[in-house]
Amino acid sequence: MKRITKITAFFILLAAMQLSFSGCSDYFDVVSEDKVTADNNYTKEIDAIAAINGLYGLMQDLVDPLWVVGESRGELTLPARGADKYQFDMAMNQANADNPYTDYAPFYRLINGCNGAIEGLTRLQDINQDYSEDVMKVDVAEVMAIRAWAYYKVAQIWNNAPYFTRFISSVDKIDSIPAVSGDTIIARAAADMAYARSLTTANYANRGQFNYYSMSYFLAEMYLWLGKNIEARDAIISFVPSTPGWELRMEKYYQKYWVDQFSPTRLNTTAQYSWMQYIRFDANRQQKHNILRWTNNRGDGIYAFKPTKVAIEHWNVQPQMSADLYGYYTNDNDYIAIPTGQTGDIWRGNYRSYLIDGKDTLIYKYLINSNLGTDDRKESYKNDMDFCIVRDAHYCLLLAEINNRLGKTQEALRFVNGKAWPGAQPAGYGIRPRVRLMPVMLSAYTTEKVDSVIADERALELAYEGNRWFDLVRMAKTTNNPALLADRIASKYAPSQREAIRTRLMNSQNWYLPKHK
Amino acid sequence: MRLIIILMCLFSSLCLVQGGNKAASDSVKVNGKVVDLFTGKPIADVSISLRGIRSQTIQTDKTGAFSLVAPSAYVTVVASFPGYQTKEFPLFGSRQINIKLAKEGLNVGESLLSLPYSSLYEQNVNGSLAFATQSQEKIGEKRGLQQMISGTISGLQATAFSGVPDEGANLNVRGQNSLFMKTTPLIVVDGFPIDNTVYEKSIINGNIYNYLSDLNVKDVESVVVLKDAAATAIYGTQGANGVILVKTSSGTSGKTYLDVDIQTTLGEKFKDIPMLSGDEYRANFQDLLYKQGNTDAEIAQSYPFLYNNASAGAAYWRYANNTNWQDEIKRNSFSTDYHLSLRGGDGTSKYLFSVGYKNQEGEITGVDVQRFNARFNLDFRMMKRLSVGTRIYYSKTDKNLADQGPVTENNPFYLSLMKPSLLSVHGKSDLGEDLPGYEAGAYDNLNNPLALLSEADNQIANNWLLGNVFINLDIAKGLSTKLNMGLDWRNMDENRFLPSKGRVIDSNGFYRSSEQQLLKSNQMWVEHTVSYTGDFAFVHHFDALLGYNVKVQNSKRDYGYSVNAPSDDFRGLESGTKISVDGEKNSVTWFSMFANGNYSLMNKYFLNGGVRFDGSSLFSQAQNAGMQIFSYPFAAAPYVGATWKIKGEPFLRNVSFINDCKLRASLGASVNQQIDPYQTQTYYQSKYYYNIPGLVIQGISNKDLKWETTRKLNIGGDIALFNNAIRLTADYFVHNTKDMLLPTQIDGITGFTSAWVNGGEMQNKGLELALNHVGQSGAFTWNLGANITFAKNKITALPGSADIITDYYGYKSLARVGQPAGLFYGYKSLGVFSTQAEADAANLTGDKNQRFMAGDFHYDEVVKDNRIDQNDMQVIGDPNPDFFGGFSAGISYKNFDLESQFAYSYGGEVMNVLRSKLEVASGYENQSVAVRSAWRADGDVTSVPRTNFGDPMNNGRASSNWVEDASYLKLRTLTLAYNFNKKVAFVRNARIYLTGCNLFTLTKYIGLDPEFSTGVSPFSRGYDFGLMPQSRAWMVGIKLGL
Repeated sequence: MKRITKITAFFILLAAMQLSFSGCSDYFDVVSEDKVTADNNYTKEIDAIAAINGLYGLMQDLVDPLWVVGESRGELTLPARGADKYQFDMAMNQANADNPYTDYAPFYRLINGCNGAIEGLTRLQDINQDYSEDVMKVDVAEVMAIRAWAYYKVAQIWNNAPYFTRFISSVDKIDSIPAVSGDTIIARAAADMAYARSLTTANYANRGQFNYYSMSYFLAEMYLWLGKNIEARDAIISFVPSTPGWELRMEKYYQKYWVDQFSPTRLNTTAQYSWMQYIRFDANRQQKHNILRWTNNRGDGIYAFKPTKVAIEHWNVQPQMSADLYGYYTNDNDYIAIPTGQTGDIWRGNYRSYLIDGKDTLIYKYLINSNLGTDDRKESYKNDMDFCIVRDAHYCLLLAEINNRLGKTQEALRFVNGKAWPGAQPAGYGIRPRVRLMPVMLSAYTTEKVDSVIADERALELAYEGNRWFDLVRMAKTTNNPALLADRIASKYAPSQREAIRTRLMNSQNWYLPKHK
Repeated sequence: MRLIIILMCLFSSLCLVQGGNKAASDSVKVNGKVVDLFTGKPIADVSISLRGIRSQTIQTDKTGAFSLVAPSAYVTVVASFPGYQTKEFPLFGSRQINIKLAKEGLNVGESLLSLPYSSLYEQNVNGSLAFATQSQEKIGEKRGLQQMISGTISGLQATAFSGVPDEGANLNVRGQNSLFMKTTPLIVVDGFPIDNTVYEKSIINGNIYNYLSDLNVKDVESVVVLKDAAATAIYGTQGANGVILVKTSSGTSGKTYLDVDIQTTLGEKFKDIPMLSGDEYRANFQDLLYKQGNTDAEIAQSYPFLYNNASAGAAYWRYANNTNWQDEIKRNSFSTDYHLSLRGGDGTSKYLFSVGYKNQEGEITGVDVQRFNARFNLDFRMMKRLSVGTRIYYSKTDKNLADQGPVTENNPFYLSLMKPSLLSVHGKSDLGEDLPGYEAGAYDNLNNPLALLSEADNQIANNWLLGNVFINLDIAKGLSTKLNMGLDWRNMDENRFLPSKGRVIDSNGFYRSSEQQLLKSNQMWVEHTVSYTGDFAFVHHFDALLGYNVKVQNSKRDYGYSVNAPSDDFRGLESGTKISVDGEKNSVTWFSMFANGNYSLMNKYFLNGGVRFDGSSLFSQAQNAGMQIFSYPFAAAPYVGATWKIKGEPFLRNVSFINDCKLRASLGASVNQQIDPYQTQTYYQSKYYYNIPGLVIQGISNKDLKWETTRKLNIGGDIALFNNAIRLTADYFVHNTKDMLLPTQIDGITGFTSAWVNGGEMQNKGLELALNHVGQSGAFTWNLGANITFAKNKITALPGSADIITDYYGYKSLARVGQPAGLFYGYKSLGVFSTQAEADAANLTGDKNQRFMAGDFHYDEVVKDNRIDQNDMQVIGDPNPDFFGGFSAGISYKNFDLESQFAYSYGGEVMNVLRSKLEVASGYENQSVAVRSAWRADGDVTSVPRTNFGDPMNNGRASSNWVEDASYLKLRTLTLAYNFNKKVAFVRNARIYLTGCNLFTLTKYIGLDPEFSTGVSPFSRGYDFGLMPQSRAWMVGIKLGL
């Protein structure tokens, strides 16, 4: 009997242990080792770095949608045989709200992530004295720059969209955040970007992140969008040398080897000298985008997008200068004396921006492995070509655009055509001399004509880098000339369809994507 | 709720009426007689006692007669005699009784059912449950546990996953009660609930790992399926989809038995799908090339072999074959199975020790399974009141598999159909002789299926330890407590190596690759219960159970992928270039409390009820999920059930041809909660940006989540007639699921497109009928069984009444209010355009503005805009059967038994995806003979569309053209056995048997097998991507009892 009592006691003890174990306040709060809950994040100094890197990681996810909405809708790209219905509709400017590329969730994931990081970094500084206020401010500034960029893209794509700066951490907390106008969003984003830049020092070291140069560039673009042309000029020239001529300086290394900035083999790890900011990728860590797959017709390429005839023709008609005749650039009006070489933009056209592969034409910029006129494509599983968001040509062409807005048409054209700087050759060239093209000659320097030259030069220089549609929208909006966009886009359609698409695009309401359903 | 109150009122009024009957508690003298059920001959020396009452056991005399004094006319007499089933006989007020005993092994509705918390005499079951048992002598004549229960239990739909050895069946009890949560029943093995028995994410595509198949069916004594709320609710959150209780054999008290069972099985090759011969293919291929716009010169340039003759030597012979690739990959399989069990014990201990080994081959070369398992079951009475026991099971399984199903690149079964028949397995010499080694893909760009089967590795090694220990203490009379502790430890290692030999370079540019996936999981479980059982005044019987349990689950997955090792000899991850490494860890904790009470009055009126509270870390942060206990939310699942044994009423008591008559009703709730972990929390996960680590927000919380609840109503009855010769059970059930957990689209400003929410309701209702007949005439004994289940699923509400469309490998399944779940959603085909005029009249374009021409399918337009796009998708089929079930017939004569088991399903449909690929080529694949009648010229009337390279009009899309009726009737097993009952030397008894499995299938389905399950989700049902079918097999076995 005694033993029975003991055993009974054992049972009771065990039951008590169980109950107390289960009553333990954290028994149900299980978090596995590969996750951090919102409450446990932002406690250590290192969390700040991880948070910011995480945001850049989220920027990687935006490359695919940015490319489709920013490039495929333009007149340089058509859907190819591998395009799915949604890509097809997007490239043909007939996307409906059910099209996944109309979904702004990935953009807001970054925006809300930024909101969370700003709250988290502030809280971290409160609870952890190792994390100084000065460092915190600089970190917050960088996060604000990322958010400003993301909002800017949202406004460019959807125009009217919700704007908020608090962290939404739970689905039950979505209040009805109203959509505001694109201009309002961009104005707020520009203010954030200006603040962020004010806390950043000029330093070329890290171009995989927002830096003084890229912040200045985006600030200028946003001001330009808002019609603040003087502010736009001031923002961008703040890092451009003021010495006359130097403001046109393009990276000299690319004088002949323009293509090298897209060729990992040629540049290896020092890639992208001329890139001011890019989104980095690493295939070994599952960081990939789909542009290579979409543009390739071999391996795992699905050949979803291809260059248009308009685009190819445009490269093919460009007149070259005869070689080594840079000296003819002695003054602004002496272009005529330059002897013309063969026809065709050989430095930026075939084997560079596009490739003719049998019956297929390919967008080649992302497939380039090495240079020099052979079809040498990257191994297709390495879909990790870095994605440039600002490079030298952007700032050069934006300066042209700003000058034109300010009524300085000749100066604007000089950013395209280049201008000699005696004694400093081969530095001091604009966009066209770098690839040895003849300058564009105009009979009269009207704003409208110069805009057209700038828009066309952008097509030659920046094709397939995810800018085309955004550039046309910005220029059409800021010049109040929807035809600048509508005519160009219509040119890629079959003649019978052109009028309809042109009419539709003359209405600026139709430039923006619907809200995804 | 109202129903519960009505039931309770009804019940209490009945009790009052009976309570007023004073005769209930007067002692009475009872006279009785015990006879054999069939022969009617009296049985002498039968032990007679009274249930629950300590009194002298008496024996019947030579005439089978006995006489005793019972304290009440409402007690239960228990009669037991070796070789016969123990019978409980409630007096129901009678003083003169006639007890009929049935021999062991006969299913006459008087079995003792082992439930985890009690043992229950079948006649006293209060609730809806069904069971399958195997008598010791017949144990192991089935190929697996699923075969043992398939078609034998009403309400249980057991659909085989495929014909791959040991994949077992997808089990559903009374339909699928959820859209996105678990729909498979809980499996309880010897009282220990085991989770996640089906693993669907194997790196060997299309294969399912089913832990239930790892249990050796030869160890299993009985399987009980619990169906209604009264029976299942004690399992709380895990019981929403029914519960399957598996009890393994235990030891004996007394003799020691050694049983040896040896089985060999010969599986027949499954049938071929008729494909084009080499010559037919060549003609078709040339036709395709012309349609691509190639000229003769271009064809000669790219495909010179089309113009070669024997003088070209190897270059000709390589393409001059007529290979039946299907035949090449198939084989007649040969399998063996050994099982040895030792049972024994004495008054204080009972033990069973068993070991088994099997080697089962699949009907595709190279596919096989080896399993070793061992079991140790011990029951030990340490002291009069204290007993302990253990059930320990270990299995080690090694599988060699091959891809099957939707992913086709390295799928030998698929490739054996698609590989052009003019190519050969091996390279060719100049004289056309086979060279050693395998031919890699040629212009067709398809891998050699034989090379995949013989050179690739697709291995799974699994170790599973399932053990529990229990201690039972009788504290006082009727009061006992039990502690049960278990561990479910699993370790699975999946290895895959794809060689360069016989394969083309894959789409990623890899010529060989290694993959490894390690899955580790362990579940610790402790349950403590206190139970009480007691009788009062001989007419009131009470059972009560209180308990709680704690469960901690941890799981971990590691995955690695590397490519391009130096040669096919280097097969490990370490030899190649690392492409990806990945993994995850999850932990879930649970705590549950439950209480259950049973009350019966005079063995006539039974009432049970109870409640279970479940809490888990999955919902720990949910704010409004349920009751707050320990400041955490708990789900409450109450239930109540009542049974009225009408046979006990005076008006039926003396109706001799009715042996039993019962009415049952139950109502209760169960909950379901298999959401991904951490959904109620916002969390971050690591993500590298280039080579620097970062943290990104990975999940957004929904703190308003709560459990999905299924309310179950069951009304049923049982009747037994003519000495239990005919027994009929009928049950009508209605299951209403509400607050369904669904992924719902949320505003993108959260950064996410969907989150789990509660919304939507679903109903499953149906009728189950089961009929059994047992009979005897002379030396013949026979039994017949039949069951049928009509189950109807209907979605009654969805958030915003919006359809839910899910994608399964490019095929869309639909959930729509008012319709059953998982409908095929696609394009309705109106036939093939016979003439261009017809096509022009329809004036349709595809979603990329291409025109539909003569020879293309004419799809029905829902939105009349002359464009066939997703707006024209509609419901084109329903995979849910109207009814299903099985029937069985057995006869035994002297030492011979003949038994058959049939299963059927009627009214379900299958989307024959494989056929769409066999009839609409998109490349240079071979095609089925159906394309002989493909559309060729204007005016052709046919159902097979024109051949067109790349299928630009997408004629192969999901359309009603590929939806087929999948009704079937199968003869699952037919067994002929002979028993040697004479003891010869040391052999106690022996039995030999011959079983034919899947001897025939009656179906209109064109594919290989209408019975398959691509996965367990309601949205994956009915898509036949091409799985290995179940083959006909012949099994010979011998069992020796020593």
